[in-house]
Amino acid sequence: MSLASFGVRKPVVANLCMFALLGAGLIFGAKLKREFFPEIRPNQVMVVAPYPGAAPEEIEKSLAIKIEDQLRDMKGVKEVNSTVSDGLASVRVEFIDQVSAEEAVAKVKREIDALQDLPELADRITVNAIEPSFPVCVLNIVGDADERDMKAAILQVRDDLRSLKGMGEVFVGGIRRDEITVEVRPEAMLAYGLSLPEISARIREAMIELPGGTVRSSTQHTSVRTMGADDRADAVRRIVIQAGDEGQVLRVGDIADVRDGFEDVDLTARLNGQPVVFATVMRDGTQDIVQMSEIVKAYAVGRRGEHLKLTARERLVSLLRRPGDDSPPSPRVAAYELGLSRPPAPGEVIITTDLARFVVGRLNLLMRNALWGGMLVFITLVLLLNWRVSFWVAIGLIVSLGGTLTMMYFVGITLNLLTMFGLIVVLGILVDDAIVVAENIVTRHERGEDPLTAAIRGAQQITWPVTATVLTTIAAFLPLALIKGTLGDLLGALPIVVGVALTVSLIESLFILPSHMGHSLLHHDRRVALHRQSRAQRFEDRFDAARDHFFDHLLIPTYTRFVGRCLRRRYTTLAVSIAILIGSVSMFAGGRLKFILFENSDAETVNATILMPAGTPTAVTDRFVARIERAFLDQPETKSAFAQAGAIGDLNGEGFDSSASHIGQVIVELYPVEQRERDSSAVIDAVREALGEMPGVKSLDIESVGAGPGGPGIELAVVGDRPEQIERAVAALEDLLATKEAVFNISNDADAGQRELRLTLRDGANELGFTTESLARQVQGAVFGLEAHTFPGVQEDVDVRVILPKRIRNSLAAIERMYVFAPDGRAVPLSEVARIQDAQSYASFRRLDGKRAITVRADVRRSSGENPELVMRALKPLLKELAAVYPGIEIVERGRQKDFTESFSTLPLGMLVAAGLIYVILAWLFSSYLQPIIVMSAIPFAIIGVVWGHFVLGYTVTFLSMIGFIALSGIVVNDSLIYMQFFNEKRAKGWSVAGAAMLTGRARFRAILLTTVTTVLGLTPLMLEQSFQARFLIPMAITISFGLMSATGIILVVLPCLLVIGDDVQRVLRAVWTGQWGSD
Amino acid sequence: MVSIAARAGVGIAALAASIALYAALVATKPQSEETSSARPPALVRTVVATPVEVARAWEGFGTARAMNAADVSAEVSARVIERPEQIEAGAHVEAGDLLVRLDPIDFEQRVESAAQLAAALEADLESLTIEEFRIGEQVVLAAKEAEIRDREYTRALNALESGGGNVAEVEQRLATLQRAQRELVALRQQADLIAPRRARLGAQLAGARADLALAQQELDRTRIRAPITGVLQSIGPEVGELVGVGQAVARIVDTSRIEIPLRMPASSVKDIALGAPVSLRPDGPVASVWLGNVARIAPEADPSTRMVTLFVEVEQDHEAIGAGLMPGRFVVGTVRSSSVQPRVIVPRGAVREDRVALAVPHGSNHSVSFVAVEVAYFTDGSHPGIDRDENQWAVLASGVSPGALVIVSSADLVQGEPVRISAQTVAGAARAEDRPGGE
Repeated sequence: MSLASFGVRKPVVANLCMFALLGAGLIFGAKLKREFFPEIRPNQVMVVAPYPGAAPEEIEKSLAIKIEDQLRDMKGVKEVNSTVSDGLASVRVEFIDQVSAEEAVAKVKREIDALQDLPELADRITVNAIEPSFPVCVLNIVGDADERDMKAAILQVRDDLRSLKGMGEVFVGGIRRDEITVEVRPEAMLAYGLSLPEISARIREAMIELPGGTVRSSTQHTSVRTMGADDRADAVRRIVIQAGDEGQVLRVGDIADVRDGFEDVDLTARLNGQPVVFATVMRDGTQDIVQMSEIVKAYAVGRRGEHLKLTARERLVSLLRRPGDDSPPSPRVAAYELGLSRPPAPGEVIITTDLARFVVGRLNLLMRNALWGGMLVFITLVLLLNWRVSFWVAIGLIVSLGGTLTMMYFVGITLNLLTMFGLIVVLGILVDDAIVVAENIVTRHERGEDPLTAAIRGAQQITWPVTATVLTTIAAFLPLALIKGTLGDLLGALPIVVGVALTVSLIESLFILPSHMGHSLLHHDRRVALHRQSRAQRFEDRFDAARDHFFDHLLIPTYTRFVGRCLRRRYTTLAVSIAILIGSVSMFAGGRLKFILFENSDAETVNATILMPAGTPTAVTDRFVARIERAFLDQPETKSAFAQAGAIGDLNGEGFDSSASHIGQVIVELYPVEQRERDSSAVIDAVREALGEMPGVKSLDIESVGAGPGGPGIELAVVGDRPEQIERAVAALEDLLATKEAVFNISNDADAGQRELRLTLRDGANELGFTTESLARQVQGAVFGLEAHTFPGVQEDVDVRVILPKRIRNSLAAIERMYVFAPDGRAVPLSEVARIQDAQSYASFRRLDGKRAITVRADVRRSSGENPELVMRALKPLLKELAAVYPGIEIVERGRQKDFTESFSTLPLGMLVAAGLIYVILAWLFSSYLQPIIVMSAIPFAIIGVVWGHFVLGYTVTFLSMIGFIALSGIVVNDSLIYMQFFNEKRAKGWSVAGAAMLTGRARFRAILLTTVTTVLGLTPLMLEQSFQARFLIPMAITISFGLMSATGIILVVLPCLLVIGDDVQRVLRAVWTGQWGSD
Repeated sequence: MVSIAARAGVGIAALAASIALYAALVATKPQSEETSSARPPALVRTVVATPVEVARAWEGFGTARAMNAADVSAEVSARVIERPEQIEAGAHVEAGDLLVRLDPIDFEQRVESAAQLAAALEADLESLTIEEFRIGEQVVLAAKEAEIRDREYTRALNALESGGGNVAEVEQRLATLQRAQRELVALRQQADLIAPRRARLGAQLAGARADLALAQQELDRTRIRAPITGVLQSIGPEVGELVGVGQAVARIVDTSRIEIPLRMPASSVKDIALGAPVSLRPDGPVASVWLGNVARIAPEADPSTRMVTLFVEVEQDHEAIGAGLMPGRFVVGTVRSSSVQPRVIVPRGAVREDRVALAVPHGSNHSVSFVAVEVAYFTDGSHPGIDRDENQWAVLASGVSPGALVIVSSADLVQGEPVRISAQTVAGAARAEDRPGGE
């Protein structure tokens, strides 16, 4: 008994399955976790090897190279990347995709432990996995209130958010650590002969708890302890520094100003020009980011004291609650109530960087497009088939979607941009097999079979072809699973979603749909027999008759005549088709249709990162940051601008936040695309123009943060063994890049070294009791302060730092004039015992796969019509020449080019595999070697539609277009597969090739047209979308729609010609072989 | 056939046209536009190396002391009977003001008794004078009598010799003569003793007078007065207290002239001349500044600390105690070098590894040229004529000529690299007071 037979004979079971899939889809679909991008498997490990006091060259020789050599030979290692700086080596190891983070860390730790001959003075080497994470949203408190109040408020926010169910990790920013500063008066130090290390030591001694041992008695043991002072500034002030013989004491408060304040770090943070403290919510597990965002937003509404609008679900849950049950109906309401219970924040509470809105936007886009697409498909089916088929096909679509969502839940696939995209793609394909099955059932019924028999046999007849179409489509998507790297992680779920959807759809088409069709037709026949047709049914019959008349007497005959002419001029037809194909390809090859990896033409978030020369004080960096901030805020498109100096947050989810005085960042949120006239590129250009050139700025990167990978447009690493050679090559490369009009903002990551104070002991200093170490400690204390003690705290530890007044710390002249203290307390002028020099620390450098490397970065001006891929294509031959000029130098692509090359290097192989699988499936189906090739020949012709579709609609070909083409290859094969199936049947019945081709065309015209029209209409709402969310996906929709249209034309016109030409060739070959001309 | 040929022709023409189109489009493929202009040189900010008269500031420390101060002690032992109300610590006193009055009874008695003794001795002396007169008269008389008796003896003897007298009479005359002579001798002896007696009495009188003076002095000492004008640092005994000799009663400090032995780095001596102004600030939360001058310079440096001592004097109104520099105060002093010479100063950030980068003219632009410099020292202060935003400077001893363009904005330059000068370069020399950092 076949599936169809079982389904038709057991309609209850079929309906139960349908309801089960629908119900499961609703339940599990709602539970699907929503995220922006699929989770990227961390496969990078960071090895940190401190070697205090050693110069970078020494570290490179004695540590970095050894670690690299040990790790590079490990199995599964893709790349080893090191940064060697003063006192530290960091080695980043990237593994191939198949290696998990835990495995990677374990492997590396083993290798590191096996290392020998490491320098004795090197500290312990640590190994950690690099865990990327994305911020979900940021809750800001903006205002000029007291710093302590702001800090308390944001810490409260953090604790509140952490306590809520469904939240991830929350990090606060814009606050400084609590610190008790003991600002010692230099005059007092001289008066009492006290050095900073001494004062620091006295404080530390006073603060240590001194265990005094245990007192034993016969009955008990009692511990005796001398407790340290309470953790308050007063306690520190009371600490005795010196005690005289006559009972006079000198306390800390007598010689220093003790303040309970904040650490003196250079870090500024502003939102829209005002001071801000913020809490960044990150996903650290498998939380749903939309839910997380809703919770945070509800909490913010509560903190603002505003009213929270309940969702329908929440209202329902509230209504259904038992009396007396006051528990919140959802985590969102719980968050709101928590926020409401808190006192008003000392500033305005604003939510920014809401990643969830992209996810929600995509989800809404999906819903909207699914709805419209579904409606269009339904209308088309009604118009071109009949309402019954349309109805049940539509039900089948919904059931398939439900099943897909259920399977996604159990397989662990989340609802993210890429899986949603896959569902949109597959929407139009899901109905194809249902249409074929339903239409076949209807056709058989119209030929006189009884409904149930027609349903069973109609489904059985088409089972293998339909199964083959599903298999070929799944095979067409397989190459995506082979893509390596980050892109591979992003696209890996796509084949699974498509495969799951199609499989469920197949089962629905072969099990549930025949049952519905059979019993629906049976019901219809009964009504007709009993003359109990309603007015609508009668209208339907009349409409069907008119439609069939249109097809059977107008459209199909016209097509048949045309195909007949083409068959008679088959060689010309083929030649013209090939010419059109060549002409289309030439549009792409000739650069009239551009290719870009990711179209970041517009985005709602702009990230500006500024890099000053190392050692630049934060105040100077902040001046430039403020200029950038003002330039953005002057643009009408700017909704908010977050600015920070002294730190950079990572927006690409690579986990590389950093802080240093010479870096700064401005993150700008623009208004939604629909509300502004200029796109983000134009805004960026306007800002750059407003800023002009800023002397002293090492680099200023401003990029739109879109859906694609971030980073500069061009990133090239110059790799070699000789640093001087590398530097020359870098200069030449930068000059080369500068010859391109569209290239700007050229910079490199060569580090000139940090600014440092160098202390050299003068002659005789040792005789006075000084050593370099003792002197350095005093000077270090003068410049940076000394940490005397740390109080353990509830929320954070509080350091006690002994420092000099700012006017001395920040003044080299004052440092030069200061006095240092000999071990016996004598004050000696520093200038007499040491020379202070404003020097440069050793430059740090980078290594790539065992060689020195400097990376050159640049941006490409898109407004010029160019893009990074175009520039790189033009540069490639020149880069080879450049590398040849500098022997031993290699220029390696990094960044997006590297991602692209790496990710798509396996694509040709994958496509070959896919093509092979499709061939095998078709060969199995047709039992022929030649026919699969003929069927697959339609694929290249789809390029015609792809090229002209992009060209006419004015879109650039992107990587999504390529993905769409991969999907298209599976869809195109489906149409020709159905055609060939019918053709073979006719041939088996004795028809000639031409005759069978004509008959097949007539018979399958409507079905092929239907599958094409439904697929195209399913994607049409997406193509017509003007929203920002859709721009990213439209090239894919164009590829599938227009490619399918052109392929359909080829299948209906050129495929018959190919079949007849194939027959001609066979006859010729037979004639040559046998010497006889004959017809089949 | 014609039809077949036509069809073939159409097919071939279509293919040829498409191939031609392909070739044409590929040949005319838009290339990435190139620019003929060279890569713009890096934009840098520069300052004009400008000679500025800077005085180097040196810092030292010491404890202020009053040049005049007096520790007033009790010179006699007595009980305090009076201390004027206004005599408290911190009060201003003039020289001679009464600080404390001790009980004078004993000393008055001593004066009295000393005076009496002296008077007695004077009387004795006077008596002695009378006595001497009288003894003198007696001596004369005794001498006359001795002469008479001698003549009588002589006469008796002559008489005896002449046989007219008798021995008994002669002996009687002789005895009388001898008696008269003894009297004379005795009187003469008495007379002779007058002088020593006078001397003794004189001495005794002098002693008595001295005792009297002493007693008087001690009596005077019961009124303890301020020896100098100044401020009472401390005042010890209260009324009724017994003070002993040598016990400290008060300390008076003359705050009008304060001296600070300022310990300075030994290297500073060459830069500092006598009379150089010194700015003094104390240890403590309240910011005060006093001005003094270098009065003396110690000739030797302390090898254990590499410091020399400058003696700084501060003159002030001794009545302005609160605002004035009090003796005993620990102060840090800043002395500016006396020899002020114009020197090129550059922002501190422009100097690295004893090198600065200059922007030297090169064709229509500039290029980077690194020069070695010798940094004399670092200083704070504002020189808006050179750089508005900078307040830390390197004073160069050599290496950069005035007028050179010193690059201050970037560290990542290489020798010979072409650069463009930012419009923010500030031209012109500046002459400004070099204010110590942070003040």
